[in-house]
Amino acid sequence: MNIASIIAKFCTSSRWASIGLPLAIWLTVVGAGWWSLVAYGLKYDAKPVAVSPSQWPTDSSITRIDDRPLLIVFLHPKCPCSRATVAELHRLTERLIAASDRTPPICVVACTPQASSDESWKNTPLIDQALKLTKARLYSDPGGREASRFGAEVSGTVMLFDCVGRRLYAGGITPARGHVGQNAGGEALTRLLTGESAPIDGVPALGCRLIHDDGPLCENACGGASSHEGEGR
Amino acid sequence: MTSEFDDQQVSQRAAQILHQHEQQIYARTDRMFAVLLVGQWAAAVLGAIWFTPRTWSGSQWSVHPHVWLAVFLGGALCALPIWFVWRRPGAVVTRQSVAIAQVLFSTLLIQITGGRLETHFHVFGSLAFLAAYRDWRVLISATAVVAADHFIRGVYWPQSVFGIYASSPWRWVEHSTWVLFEDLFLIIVIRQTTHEMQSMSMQAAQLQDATERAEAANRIKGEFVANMSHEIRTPLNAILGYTEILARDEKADARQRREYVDTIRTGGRHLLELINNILDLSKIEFGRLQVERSRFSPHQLIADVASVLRVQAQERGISLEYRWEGPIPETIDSDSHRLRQLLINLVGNAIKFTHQGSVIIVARIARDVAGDQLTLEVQDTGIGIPADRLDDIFKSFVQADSSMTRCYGGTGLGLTISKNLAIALGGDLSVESQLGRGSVFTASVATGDLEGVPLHQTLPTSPVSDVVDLRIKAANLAGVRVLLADDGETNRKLMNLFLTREGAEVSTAADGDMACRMALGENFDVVLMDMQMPVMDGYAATRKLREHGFERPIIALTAHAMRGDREKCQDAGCSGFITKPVNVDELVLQVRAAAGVERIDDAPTSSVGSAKSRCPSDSIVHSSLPTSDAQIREIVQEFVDSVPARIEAIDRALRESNYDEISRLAHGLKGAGGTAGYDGLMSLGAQIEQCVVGREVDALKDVIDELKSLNSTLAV
Repeated sequence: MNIASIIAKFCTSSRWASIGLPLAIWLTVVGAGWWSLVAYGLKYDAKPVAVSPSQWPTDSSITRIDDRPLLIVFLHPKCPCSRATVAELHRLTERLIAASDRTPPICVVACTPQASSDESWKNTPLIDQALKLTKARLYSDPGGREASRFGAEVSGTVMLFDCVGRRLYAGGITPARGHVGQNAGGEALTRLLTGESAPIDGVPALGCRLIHDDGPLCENACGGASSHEGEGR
Repeated sequence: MTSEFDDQQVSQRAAQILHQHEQQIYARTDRMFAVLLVGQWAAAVLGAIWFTPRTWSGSQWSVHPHVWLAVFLGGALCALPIWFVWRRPGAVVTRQSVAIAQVLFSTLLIQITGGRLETHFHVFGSLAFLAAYRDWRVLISATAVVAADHFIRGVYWPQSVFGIYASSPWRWVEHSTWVLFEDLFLIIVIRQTTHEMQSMSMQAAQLQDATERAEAANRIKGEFVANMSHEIRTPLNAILGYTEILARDEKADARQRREYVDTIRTGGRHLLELINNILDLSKIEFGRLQVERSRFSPHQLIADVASVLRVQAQERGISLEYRWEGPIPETIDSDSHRLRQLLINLVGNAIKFTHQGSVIIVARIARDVAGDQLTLEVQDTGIGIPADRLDDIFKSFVQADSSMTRCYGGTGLGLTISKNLAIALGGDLSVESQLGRGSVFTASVATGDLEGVPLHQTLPTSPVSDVVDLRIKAANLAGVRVLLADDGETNRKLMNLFLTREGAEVSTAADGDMACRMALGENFDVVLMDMQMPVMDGYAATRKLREHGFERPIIALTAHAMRGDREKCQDAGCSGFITKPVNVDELVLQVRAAAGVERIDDAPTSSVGSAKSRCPSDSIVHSSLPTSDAQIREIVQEFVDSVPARIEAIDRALRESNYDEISRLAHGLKGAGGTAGYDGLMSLGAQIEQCVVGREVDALKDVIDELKSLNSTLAV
């Protein structure tokens, strides 16, 4: 009796109906579920890093101090996945402080809806956590204008500019969506901040979209909202 | 005796118990995991709602995919294992699906909690929990899923698990090895636990087996007691019935009275044989069967046995013959008494179960470097034994079929005793049988060294030597000087009378001290020494005599027929042993042999009357002695007259709580009562002694009441 006939016999037996078939279906379903879970964790739909400006945008209203590098992190205030980005930044700054205190100023850009009066967009736990970073200051970005200038499309995008305004890094610093842990982006950023060269200048960021397909974080028509720009603390 | 078959049965039962135990563990662990899976599902959903409730696109939100994944993937992970737990508890597929689901839950929970390091411990915790199954195979499945997870991630999404985009293709092996590291310890623990379970199962099986055996033994003993009851009652009824007739039928002539007495004697002998069998079995069970070797003619022994049993065979219409195959040693070195007992058992059995044809004893000598052996085959053409019962017939209280007992009588002890006798004599006993065709019992016994022993090629024409028919009708003790030491007056008088009638010159002493003085002062041929006497007991007196160089035979008289007493007496220096109540023939034979009139190897001991006997209170109880003899009648009457005073003394001692005195009086009553032919008194005396030992006052009072009741019925 060859294997094929054994399988054929099993497939026509009552055990197949009561055990084999349900087991096969179940393994297929949970296998697919597992695949979806892992794939979703790494699914990104932001534009390639290359679209980010290689130099500090001249029209940016974010203040950059000359002769000092600047780290900018773009956050959607309510993005749950960006908690991992903030956690990774904490880990990174702690390492830098421990090494040589070469922590650069960090600009936390909170992209909020334009002219939103909803207090729930301000002082969210994510933003509060981000502002606990060493040398962090908040820049409120109603409507996501600055995000657009810098080409940041998803929450958790981190950019590093050097003293002369060259972009050294742009992308994510988590291994997967909302996932903390060792990752290539974080390693590259650390090397750059410690004066070393990095093999990569960015990996895709994984988080909520800062800008809706219908436009930037708009609740009404998008427009200049300079009065809100540059609001730091 | 445990056979290989029994061991196999115990092993099978142990395997069955182990299987049941394992199934219980599997099913119980299945249920625990069912609860855990549901709990993890709920935790995953709640965690997803808590950590990642929404995903945003600008100001638009939707339910975060983590929530849906927790709901649907978690549900899917639970669904089939729980269904299997419900429908197939304890099945392999159930615990394997549980194992797969459990480690996949690790993936889900790690994802939901944002890859927290702590959540990774779920994998290791899950493996440890899966070890609760005590089935290492579930660990292998779980580990395979973990390895596959890391392998696939390493190929497609290395950054998700290793944090870098281009990891070594073997990095997943490193991760899996740490899981295997834990597996290693868990498998060791599982193996140890499994061994313990196997050991416990074996113990449980052995316990069950022992319980069943004990129950079976109890059942068989119950049947045995019922059978023994029948065996004892039958001759006892005859004895009591004919005794009653003798007592009442004053018109019976001498011939009739002789017939009655013969019947009573036959019944008594049957009872004696029965009790001897039981005592032998008791000795065997306690490993106290003694073999006393001497040289004797095997041919004469076989001829004697054939001669004794031939009448019985002829009554059944069958022939009993014997023959030798090969040379016949003039003598062998063995225990003639035990070999005779063995052969009588085998031949007696063969005759009992043979209705037509013959019983043949075939004897031969087997020479071997390991030792020469005498083989005795007892061949019969009887009913045979079923093959499946052949092993059982050598067990105590067992006959081939319980209905055999009803048809053929017997205690079911004969073959057990015979087998043990054969083993004690350096051989064995085996049987071959064909149902309806007959049986062959083959007994072998060691002969000792036959070097230098004449070997005859033909049958000797006359008995060679040594084996003596112990049953003598009369013995001449003329000129034999006997010192009789016994504190019981009745005993002294009766034994004095019996020995004097045989021609002996008897002096008496009432205690050990007096006996010592007399024995050392005068020239006695034999000393009869009661072992329990006041002032100085028989053991001390015997030791003292031996220490003072007294070399003549000292025969112990004791009411204790059980194990150890003979050895105790021998240790004290006694050269013979007679149990009370004293059998007159045995007394005379022992004295005669001890005095050097004739040597007797090992006279049988008797304990007639040691069985508990009660007499109805409304009937007259007569002495079993021949009280028609004026002298005996006088002694017995004297004893009967002394009984009320003895009872009164016991009563008084009881009121004074003087238990030593009660014991002394009861012992005297027991010895004297038995010797005077009142077994009931002897039995009650023994009971009083037992009550005193146990300080059972209420029981003691009951026995004394019974004694008083019996006293009112005593007659000479």
